[in-house]
Parts: sequence; C-alpha cells; structure tokens
Amino acid sequence: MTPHRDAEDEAALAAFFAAARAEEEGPSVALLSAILADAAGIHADRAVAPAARRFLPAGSGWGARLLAPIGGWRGIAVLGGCAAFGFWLGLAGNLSLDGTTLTTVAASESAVTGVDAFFDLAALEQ
Amino acid sequence: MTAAARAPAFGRAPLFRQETAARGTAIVSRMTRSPDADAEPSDAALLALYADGDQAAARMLTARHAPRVFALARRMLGEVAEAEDVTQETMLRLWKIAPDWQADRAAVATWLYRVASNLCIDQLRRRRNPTRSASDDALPEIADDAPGAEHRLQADDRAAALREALAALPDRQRLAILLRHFEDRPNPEIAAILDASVEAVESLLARARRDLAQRLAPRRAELGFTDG
Repeated sequence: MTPHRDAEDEAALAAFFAAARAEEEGPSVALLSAILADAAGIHADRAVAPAARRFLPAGSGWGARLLAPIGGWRGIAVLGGCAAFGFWLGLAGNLSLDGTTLTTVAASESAVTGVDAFFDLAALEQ
Repeated sequence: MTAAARAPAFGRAPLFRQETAARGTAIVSRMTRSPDADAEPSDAALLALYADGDQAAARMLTARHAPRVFALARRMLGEVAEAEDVTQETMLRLWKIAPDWQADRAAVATWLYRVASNLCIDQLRRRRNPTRSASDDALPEIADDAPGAEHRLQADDRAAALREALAALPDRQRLAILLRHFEDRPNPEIAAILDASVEAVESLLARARRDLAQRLAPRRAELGFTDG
C-alpha cells in the first residue's frame, strides 16, 4: 500500500467519517448513574473490609507495648493454646501415634474439649 | 432503562443495583454542574482522589471518559445494550484498580480504551454472527420537510453505509479505524491499546481504509457524491 493510495482512500472516506461522527449519541443517564453507583459501591466495600478483619485494638496502650515482644495478644493466644494442649496431654494419660494421627488411649469429654479449644485458638491466628 | 435495571451481562453480580436509581440520578445532576474550570486535575490525580474516597473525582472521571468508551463500544458492537455493558464493566475495572494505579505506567484513557477494546472483541467472539450490523439501533427516520432535512437524510445514509462497511471489517481493523478516525488517538497510542507495533497499526489502518473505500465506492453516486 503506497502512501499516495492510502491518502486517496482517506480522502474518499472523509465525508463518511464526518457523517458518522455527527450522529454520535452519548451514554444514557441510567448508564452514567450505574457507573457512579459502582464507584460508590467499590469504595464502600473497601472501607468495610479492613474494619471487619480487625479484631485487635490499635496497639498504643501499655498492655500492647508489654506484650509486643511475644507477638502481642496473638502471641498470648497461641501460648495459651499451647498451655491448654499441654494441660490436656497431662490429663489424657497414655498416648499412641497411629500413622499420622495422634490419638488418646483414654478419650474423655474434657480431653475432646481441650483439643477443640486448641484448634479454636489456632484459628485465631488466621 | 433505569439504573436499578442496569445489570451488565458478564456473569458478574452487579453492586448496589437496587438502591442506586434515585441516588444515581442525583449524582449525575451534581456531576453536570460545572466544576472549577481553573483547576482541572489530571486523570491520575483524580484516580488517587477517588481511591481516597472522593466521589466527586469519580464523577469527573466518568464525565471525561465514559462517553468515549461508550462511543467506541457502540461502534464496535453495533448495539446500545452491549455497548452499555462494556462501558460499565470498563469503568468498574477502573474503580477496582484505583488504589494500585501507577501514574507512570500508562495514561488512564489509553488503559480504558484497551480494556474496552478487549471486552468488545471478546463480546464479538461470543456472538454467532460477527459481521452482524446495527439493527434495532438504527437512527429514527426524519419525517419532516424542514429545510436541511434532505441534507440530514443524506448524512444519515452515508453514516449507515459506513456502519455496514465497518461491520464487515476484521475486528482489529475496525478497532484501529474507530480509534483513529472517531476517537482521534495517535498511532503510538493505538499501538499501546492494541498491544501492537506502530508499524502494525499503520498497516492495519491502511488495509482497513482500502477495504472501506472499495466497499463504499459503488455507492458514492447514490449517496450524493459528485466525484469528477
């Protein structure tokens, strides 16, 4: 395609392009409203999400500073879980390892409660 | 179609659709009041403001870019409803990326055109007949005898003829023509939008113009051209 030929084509099409541009219609009010509603909605979602995940207060008090070396309140929760698990082990008596599952020889309601509590505390880490 | 009924057909649940009709109308009316003309922030600045919660920035971005995105989609797809879906989805992606926008990476307009172009091409591929031309979106007939009506009719006929010819082009050629001759984007920007080289864009445009000129040549006499 030679530049001269392309220039001829462009000149031949100029009136068609002009006619098509003149008939252009803009977006409807409904569409613009929906776009703006999306903008507001996206921002609202972002504002809510961080607050929903936050379950610890801002670490500015003396308690938070005291606990900071061990990971703050989360560290306390994990230590507590480990302590509870160890307490349960002491209460459970004999233990056996079957494959990949650690089971108690003498299952008791308090032992089950201890395991549940351990996993509940572990879930707080996430 | 009210804002409440505006639900783009992209398999994504619309957000806040039911409660936005009245609020959206109020938002648009505020948007049309002219802002301070002496302080026109850049698109990147507006996007940063929006990311910080400034809804006025979203209104300005919408006013600047939604009409152009809609115009491109309308011409690519030949249908108002699908063009509205593409426009809404394109702007939605802009709102989502706002907190992560890097001003030095691309111009907002270029990015929007690219997203809209890809959505249009995806939509065309989903259709069974990709050469389908505008149908129920044809312009209404002008039924008056006022002076100038014949001129308008002639312009309408030429526009319709071009629409048909454009619909017959391959997708990327049509896109290149629309971006160049309707959106007035320079070739380097078109290259960025189409993810192609400038030379490839120039070739696309030349082939597309040749194709259009050949298709329209037999109709020039009936469309009022008096070529020498």
